[in-house]
Amino acid sequence: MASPSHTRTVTLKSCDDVEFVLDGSVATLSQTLVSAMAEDSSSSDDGTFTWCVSNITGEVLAKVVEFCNKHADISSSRGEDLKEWDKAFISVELDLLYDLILAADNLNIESLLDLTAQRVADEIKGKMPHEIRMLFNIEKDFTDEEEREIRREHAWAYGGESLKSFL
Amino acid sequence: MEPPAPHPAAQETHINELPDAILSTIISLISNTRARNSASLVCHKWSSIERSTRTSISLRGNVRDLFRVPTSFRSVTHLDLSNLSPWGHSLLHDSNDLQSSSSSSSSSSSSDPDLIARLIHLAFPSASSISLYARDPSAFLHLSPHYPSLLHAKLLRFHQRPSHLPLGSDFKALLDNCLNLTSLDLSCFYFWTEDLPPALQSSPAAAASLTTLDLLSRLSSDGFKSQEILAISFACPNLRRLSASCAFHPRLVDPISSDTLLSLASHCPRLLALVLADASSLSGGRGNPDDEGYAQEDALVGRVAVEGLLASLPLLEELCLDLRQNVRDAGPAFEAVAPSKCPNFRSLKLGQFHSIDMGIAACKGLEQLSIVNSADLTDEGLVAIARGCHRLVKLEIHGCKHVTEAGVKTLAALLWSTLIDVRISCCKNLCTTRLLRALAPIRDRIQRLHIDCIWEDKESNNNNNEEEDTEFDDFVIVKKCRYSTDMGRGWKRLRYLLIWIPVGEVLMPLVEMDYCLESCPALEEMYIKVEGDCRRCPKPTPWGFGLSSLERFPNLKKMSMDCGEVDGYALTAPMGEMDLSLWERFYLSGVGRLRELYELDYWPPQDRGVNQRTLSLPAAGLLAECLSLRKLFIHGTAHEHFMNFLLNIPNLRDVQLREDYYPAPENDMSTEMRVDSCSRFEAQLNRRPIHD
Repeated sequence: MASPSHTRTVTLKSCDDVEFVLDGSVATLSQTLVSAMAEDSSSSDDGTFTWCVSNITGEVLAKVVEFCNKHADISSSRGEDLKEWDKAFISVELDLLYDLILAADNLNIESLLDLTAQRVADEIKGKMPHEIRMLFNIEKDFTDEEEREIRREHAWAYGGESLKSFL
Repeated sequence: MEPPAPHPAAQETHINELPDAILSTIISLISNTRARNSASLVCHKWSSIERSTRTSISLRGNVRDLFRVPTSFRSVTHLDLSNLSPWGHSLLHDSNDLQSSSSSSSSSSSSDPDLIARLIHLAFPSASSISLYARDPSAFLHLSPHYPSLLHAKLLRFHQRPSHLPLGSDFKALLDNCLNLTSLDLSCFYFWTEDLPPALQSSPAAAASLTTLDLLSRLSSDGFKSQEILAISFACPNLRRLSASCAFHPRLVDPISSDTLLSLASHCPRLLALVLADASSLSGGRGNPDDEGYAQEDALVGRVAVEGLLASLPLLEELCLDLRQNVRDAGPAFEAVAPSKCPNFRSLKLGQFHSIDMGIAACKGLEQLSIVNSADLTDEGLVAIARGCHRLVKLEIHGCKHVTEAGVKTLAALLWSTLIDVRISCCKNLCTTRLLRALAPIRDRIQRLHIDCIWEDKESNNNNNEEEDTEFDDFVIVKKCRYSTDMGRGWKRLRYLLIWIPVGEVLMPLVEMDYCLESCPALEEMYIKVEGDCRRCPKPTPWGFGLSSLERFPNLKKMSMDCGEVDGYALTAPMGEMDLSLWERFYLSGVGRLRELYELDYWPPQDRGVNQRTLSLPAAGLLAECLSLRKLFIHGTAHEHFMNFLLNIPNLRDVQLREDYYPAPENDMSTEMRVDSCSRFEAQLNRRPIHD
């Protein structure tokens, strides 16, 4: 029972029936797969395990698998290089980004969730409220009075971090 | 199992369809206040998520309006009340205790301090960390009963300690009411050193729960004496981090000796960080780079103390002993004890320690190292340190006159893969050109840099250039390193730059000479420190200090222009001398050409004779040209009608006068900024429309 995930391969099946075969060690990045495999450990002796992800398309799943393969490969992932790789990896359209977030959430892959969430946060930074609404296609549901009230609150909070000391 | 997403993936997903937990993770990753404010104005859902993830707030606004403090920031754990306007004003005043501030507005603001304290608690029920300008004990007297489970407290005070108060009364209410307090920060709080021991002794429960105590104050004159340090360490046996300014000088009453340090270590065996600095090293100037490097007196701290500290503090990660008296025999102690007894030793700062190169080199795990005023540190010693401490990320060298370009160059070559933070100052043989030339091979890796601007004539530098390269057998590494960095030219990762420059010198060579900082695309923050007495200075060049030459740094957003250590005539310059308003014009001219500048801290020069630091007319005019500014902090006083110039800056949101130097003026004279005029100005500023 000692960590069966390392010895077998995992087949991921998307909602449009695209299949991906992962090495067991790569699959351990996903907490969902780890717990599913632990429950399942009694059955298959052939060392394979199939998991259907009902709401992720093959296109998105391909990205997820690409991410997992890169991050599980310890030899190639050294600090700076990996950061550069992540940056290139995550430069995608917002729609794909949401799907990646949902997939990362569904498969419970923490490092992918962090990366995608950070990307969305970076998108929000430095923008005016109406720019954010436009970017994410959000409808404004404030009344003028409510908006004034929030702005009044911000008058108390416009100061930022205190002076950073170099010395 | 996760519930299936509401829409099949084929359809486009909307950001608000992401699970709330994820949206809240995303928004909690935004730390910038302005971006957070923006996000909360997007829609109801975002607004409520933003508020529930905002954990820290630095409250701005006038103390008079505190009764209207918003109650929507309910998740705030870090509450900073020290920046309320007027700066330095007592927050929660007893109405019958108004003798120290005479203005009429304060009496109306402080009608019922207990009510205000209650309101603050209602608005921020979960605050576990509070910063507060505690001009007198009344603030915590009212506030601390509402926060019995407070964990962190930071007190600030640059005004004089009211002399009629009994010892320790500033801390009594805090320590009596907050028994779980783990950290107390007094590094910006003016008090007497004899205040603290009785306060800690009378509240043993709170003292025992303290794990972090920061007493590293540049405000106190002499520092803590031996008996006081012993009493504090005895009262707080669970300390993990202790920083204090100390009295090391052997001729003071009750100075710190080796025995003090040994007892301290036995009182607090779980220390991770011990930072003890001589009080004069914090407040005093740079020292003379020309003198021999040895102090007149030897310290009472030596090899025994270092050995004892290292041997009895097995968890130690950080040690700072910044003295101003000679310690000559401590080197072997580091060699003998540090590697075996302190496996986690990461950070070391030593001041006025001599013959320590081999000792430091034996501490192989060091990541941060500061060497201050080591009279006999040579290039060979520096190279030995670089070979030994191969993990160094941060290196500071100050006042070591035997260190030259060759040593720094070899060091840079040896440490090129780790070193990102370099601070070299007050070294006689390293003028700016030589230093930058020595660092050129690793310039594309450095993120933080502190240099002195000492311009020397170029001929003397070029002559001895040839022989230096071959001085050490690390020649091969030097060559390899140079090869690998030729591709990425410029200081492409440099983000913070601190420069020190003598009064009267100009800035232009920094971006114009050979080996200069010609290309710094990532530079976002600069600190310029000017120091000297301009009364002895020849008249400066008419075209100014040269702030406009910083135009070429496209990302420069924050700047601190610190002329606080410049001394001159405020108004009374004799014939033929310039008074400070003309010097201010010299230093600030061209500031309007920095188009990206967003935040400016400015310390006006001072006239020590009359304890006056005030913004002059030319300075106000020049600052008003800086149209991109949003925040401006003037660390001094100013006239109201000069401040009105600043209203011309269209996006300016936040202006404050901070008298954060000691002693802060108790009662400003009628011509300067009083509480009333300060409030009038802020009201004018806030009346303007806000676009974002």
